[in-house]
Formats: sequence, structure tokens, C-alpha cells
Amino acid sequence: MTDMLIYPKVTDYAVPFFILLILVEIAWITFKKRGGRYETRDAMTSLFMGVGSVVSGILLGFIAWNCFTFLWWLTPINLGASVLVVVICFVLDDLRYYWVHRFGHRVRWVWASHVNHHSSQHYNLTTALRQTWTGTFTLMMVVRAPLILLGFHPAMVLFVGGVNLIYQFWIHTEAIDKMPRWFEAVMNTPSHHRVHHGRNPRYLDANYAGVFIIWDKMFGTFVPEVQDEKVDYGLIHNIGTFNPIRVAFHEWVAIWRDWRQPGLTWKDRWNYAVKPPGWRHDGKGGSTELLKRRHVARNPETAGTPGFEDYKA
Amino acid sequence: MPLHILAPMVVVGLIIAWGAMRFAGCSQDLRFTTVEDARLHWLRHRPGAKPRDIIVAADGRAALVEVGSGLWLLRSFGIDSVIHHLGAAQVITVKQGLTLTFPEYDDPKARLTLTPKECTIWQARINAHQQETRND
Repeated sequence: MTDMLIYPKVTDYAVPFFILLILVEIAWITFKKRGGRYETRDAMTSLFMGVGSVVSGILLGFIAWNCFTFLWWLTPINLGASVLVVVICFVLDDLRYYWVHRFGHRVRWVWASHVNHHSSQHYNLTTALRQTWTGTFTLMMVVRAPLILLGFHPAMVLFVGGVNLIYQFWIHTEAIDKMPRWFEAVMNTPSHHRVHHGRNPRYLDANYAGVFIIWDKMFGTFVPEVQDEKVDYGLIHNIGTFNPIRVAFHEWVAIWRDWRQPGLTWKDRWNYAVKPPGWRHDGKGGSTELLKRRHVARNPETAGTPGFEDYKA
Repeated sequence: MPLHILAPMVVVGLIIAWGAMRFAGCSQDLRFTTVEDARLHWLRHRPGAKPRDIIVAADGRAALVEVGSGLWLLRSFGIDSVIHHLGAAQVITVKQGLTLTFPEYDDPKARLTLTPKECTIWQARINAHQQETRND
């Protein structure tokens, strides 16, 4: 298939609204004295990460685009561009997002790119823009390949991906507590996504959804926000820099340093790239499972509660 | 959107956001007001590691924390805090206090403002800890 299809680059058009909503959130927090926290250097780092992500897309976007147009040339199927096809593409692309995001937390090579999004100890609308510069290097573009081979035009696939990202902007806030019950049941919301950004053992590796929270409920990764356990944002080991370059590349550097340790086998090196973050060849690493187990040992009353369903006191 | 519209819009947006945060008072630093305050911040980072000893710097921006796994630095990071293990830190005395250099790429340096007396105590504690680590 070689036909042309053009969609607007929706994330660019959303920029003025992003800025406006950030200013509204700052004003809300300042005057209401609740609904989140802002720290100038942290927020500016997030915004610079967002700018860098756009620049990275301009510089490296051609790699994914050329792969997708090659797949489009290969496939004999063209589903067209009707509204129904766009809607189906959006839903399937959200399923694709769920899995890429889950890999992003469970495979260190992909985490190296995604970690910067979680590197702030704050949770506000600027955190949404703390995006990766190195997504192309993860090769996660291959997860989009089935959509194109199924007959969804590459431009449509990228368009719905952009809409997905725009949806996720507004859920990065503490200013909204809960949405109506029916909405919380189906859609990703500020409450669900706060859980995803938590470093509390209860909230680790949960709620990977982009737009529809149903994927987490289907695949067993859903954890609700618990009223009496406030989310603590950031990483297990928080980074101590506001330098966007260090934020963007620190986990890649850490992988490189792990690879260079003396006495490693090639299997160890492979595992340092593909095992979950925290894995170590000497068995001294701290996995999510270990952190949850230790937490339940210290707090036996939490065994069996959300986030600890599989852990016994 | 054409780049000649997007780029200036982003630059203006960054400046306005920065100005709004400065105006709203979002640029203050965290201070550890007491040992108990520092202990609570430490436990947020390492819930299972109860401190044996804590020394808070006079300016409240840093604390030395001794736990089972050795000596750590807890320091203010914007309005939040971060921790560093001091086993591999390089310590340099400067006019304002100490500069600590860490091997981690994501956390390369900490500049601590300490009184001359604090400088002596902190440096001795860090040196002793590093000596113990080497002996182990």
C-alpha cells in the first residue's frame, strides 16, 4: 500500500493548552493551598524534558516512520480511514500502549528510556511533559507493527498515539481527587495514574494504562488508590540532579557501568539489559517483589490488601 | 504546526511558567529543622533502615545518617530530599564547608555549607566510615 493520508500533529496544537492548564494548576494550588506541589527547578526540568522530547522526535522520528511505511508497503490490507476505523485503531493502539508501558517498567532497556518520566518527586501537570529523549533506542516501535500489518495506515497509528498522549496530560494532577464512578471504572484517571507514579511498595508496577484502565483490570495489574496511604512520588532511589541531560541519560549510563563490571558473563550482560530494574548478577539487587515482601513483613496487616494480594504475612 | 510558530510559543510558555512559579513562591529549599524531622525524611527514602545516629547541619540543608548499612548523607533537593551512600564519596574541603563527589551519574556532587567545627566532625566521620568499609 502506498496511498497518502495526512493527519494534524495534534501534540503540537496542544502545546498552548498545556501551558495554559499548567498556569491554571499553579494558580489553583497557590490560592487554594491544596491540590499538589510545585517546585520551580523540578517543574522547569520537566518542561525542558518535554522540549527535548519534541526535538528528539524531529531528529529521530524518521527511523520509526520509515519502518512503518515499509510495513505499509508490505501489507495487502487497507482498512481505509473511516471514523469507525480510527476509533478501532485508537482502542487497539491503547492496548499497544499498555504493553509498551508495562515493558517500560519490567525490562531495564526500556526502563532506561522511561525512567525520566518517573524521576520527579512531584506530581503535577509538568510531570506529564517530563518525556523521554531516547524512546527510539528501545526499539519498542516494533509493538506498533501489527497495527500497520492489520491495515491501519501509519499516519493514523501515529495520530491516535498523539491523541493518547494528550489524554494522559490532564491525569497528571493532584488537584482532581476522583471522577464519577462509571468513569473511574473504565477510564484512566488522576487517581489511577497517581498510583502508577507511586514509590510506595503497595503501588509499585501497577496501573500501566494510557486511556482505558480496563487493560490493567484484564491483565491483573490494577491497584486502586487507597485513601489512608498517600502516594509518595518518585523513584525507589531518587535522583539528585535537575540537569535534563543527566535526567535523560542516567539509566543508560548505569547500564553501561553495569556491563563494564569485571568478571561478567555475556549472559549477565544480557540480563542487565532485559531483566527488571534492580536485578543484579550477584543476587543482591532489590526487585519490586522483594520490596513488597519486606513491606508486608514489616507491616503484616497489609497482607492481602490492594497491591499485596499475593503476599502473606 | 510550523516550527517558526511552535518554537517561540514554547520559549514564551517556559518564561511565563517560570515567572508564575517564582511569583507563587515555589523556589524555596527544604530545611531539616530537627533531628526528628531529618529522621522522618530518611525513613521516607529507606523505610526499613532505622537510623542509629543523625547529625543535622546548622543550616538545616543536610544531615549525616548512620544506619546498619553504613554512613549516608541526607540532603535537601529543592523542597524535597535525596540520600547518598558515603562509602565511595570523595570529600574536598572548601571555604563554605565540604564538597562531596559521588560516582553516580544521576547524583554527581553535593555542596554542603558547614561551620568549621562541623567540617572537622563530618570529615572525620566520613573518613572513619570509609576506612571501615575498606577494612571490611
